[in-house]
Amino acid sequence: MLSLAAYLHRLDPFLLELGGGFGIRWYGLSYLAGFVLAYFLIRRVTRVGISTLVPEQVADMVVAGAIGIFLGGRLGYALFYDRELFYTFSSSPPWWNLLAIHRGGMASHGGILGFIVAMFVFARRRGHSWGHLMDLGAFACPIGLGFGRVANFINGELYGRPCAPDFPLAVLFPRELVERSDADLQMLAPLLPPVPPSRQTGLEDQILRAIQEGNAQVIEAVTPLLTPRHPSQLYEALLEGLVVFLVLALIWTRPRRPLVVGGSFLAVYGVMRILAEFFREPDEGIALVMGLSRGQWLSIPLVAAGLVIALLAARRKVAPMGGWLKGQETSAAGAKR
Amino acid sequence: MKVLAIAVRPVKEGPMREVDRVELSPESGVAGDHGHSARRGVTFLSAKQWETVTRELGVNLPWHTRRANVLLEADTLAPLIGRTIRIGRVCVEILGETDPCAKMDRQYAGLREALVRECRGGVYGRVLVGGEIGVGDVAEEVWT
Repeated sequence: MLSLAAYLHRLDPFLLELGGGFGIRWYGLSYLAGFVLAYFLIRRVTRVGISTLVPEQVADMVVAGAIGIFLGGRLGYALFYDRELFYTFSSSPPWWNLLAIHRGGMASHGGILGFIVAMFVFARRRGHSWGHLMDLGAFACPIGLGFGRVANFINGELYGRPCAPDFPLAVLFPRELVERSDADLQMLAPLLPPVPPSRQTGLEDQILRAIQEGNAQVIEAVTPLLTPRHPSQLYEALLEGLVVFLVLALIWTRPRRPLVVGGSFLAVYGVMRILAEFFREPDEGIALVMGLSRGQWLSIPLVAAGLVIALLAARRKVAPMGGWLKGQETSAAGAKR
Repeated sequence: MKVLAIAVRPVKEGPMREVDRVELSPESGVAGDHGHSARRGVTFLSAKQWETVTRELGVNLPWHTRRANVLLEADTLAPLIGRTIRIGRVCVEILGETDPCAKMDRQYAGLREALVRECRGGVYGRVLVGGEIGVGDVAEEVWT
């Protein structure tokens, strides 16, 4: 008989752990996969569409964009959330806390700003249209964003709102214990296996590790404490990743004026984010306002700005660019070659 | 802006040859053209301004007397400097004004003087993305 019991999340964030918090994480691989896929998507546009970039320049653009995203994401995080990172150091590598990205801390809005600045510089130095580069970036990034959401799921973070225990997709996220539960975690300490001094971490990490390693006693003890939840990260991967990409791909079957695709990305992403957040647990300590989360409220101006940008861009008397479908090189005057 | 005519310079100071279509590339500029550099891959001339020049001189000279590659249906090309245009799949970054040299006076006395102001000599640019262009194609400005 098919069991409808919620799945207990036991996925390991590391593909390969080297110790001390270092190793190859799925989250890092999602960035890498996103950049590789972006490279192939942009290359496709430069090969069959209209672009100021030749295919041989695509790698340069992706590397410039990646540097912008990393620098912007990290500096943005430090600037907006944790300024101590700028002037605090530790006794272990990489010593300067600003560089300790393995402990987390990237701000998505910082990453977006970093990408915009990087593309502005790249466009100016190489004679490209900045708006066209923005379109290429917008077209190429949703799948990477989707990979990032899958990595969020693997990490067991940013989980969904509670759902019925017999909901077929219900998941028990152990991280809930350390983030939201009032349960006394000390009661679990006797159940934990001894940890060598070199791998000593906090109690919370040891509990999560024991669950990932399949410790039956710990799993039995924590399961009743966990709430069945929506795997909202996977819904977000589909909505903010796949659906946004498909809509943009539909828009860009033929060349469009620069920023039409970029503006459409903001609008469609915003709508998908609003939908997906109905299933995502709101950030702790931030109350819903009129039933909407902070992420949903912030997405409303994003949708409005995206629509305005796309509509204004579509009215500009400049050459349509891009397109990924072969044989659709249409000029603004309507002449098809 | 429509492409009204295309010409290549097979040899230095030799006669221009008009063609209907031509291949442009970042490496070689205009195919069949004898001289080019990375920055000066192709040259453009405004039909309206050429008309003004010949009217002022009171003589009927073919447009390629100026030894430019592409004649565009445009009042002036000066606003394009610093911008990128695309013709079909071909993208060209317009880098500057083509200064008329003393050779122009050898073509017709006083021609150089008539070309030096208001960007009448046309503009040059580097080919960012190559491909074929043809007479009748539309040149459009790319938003930069």
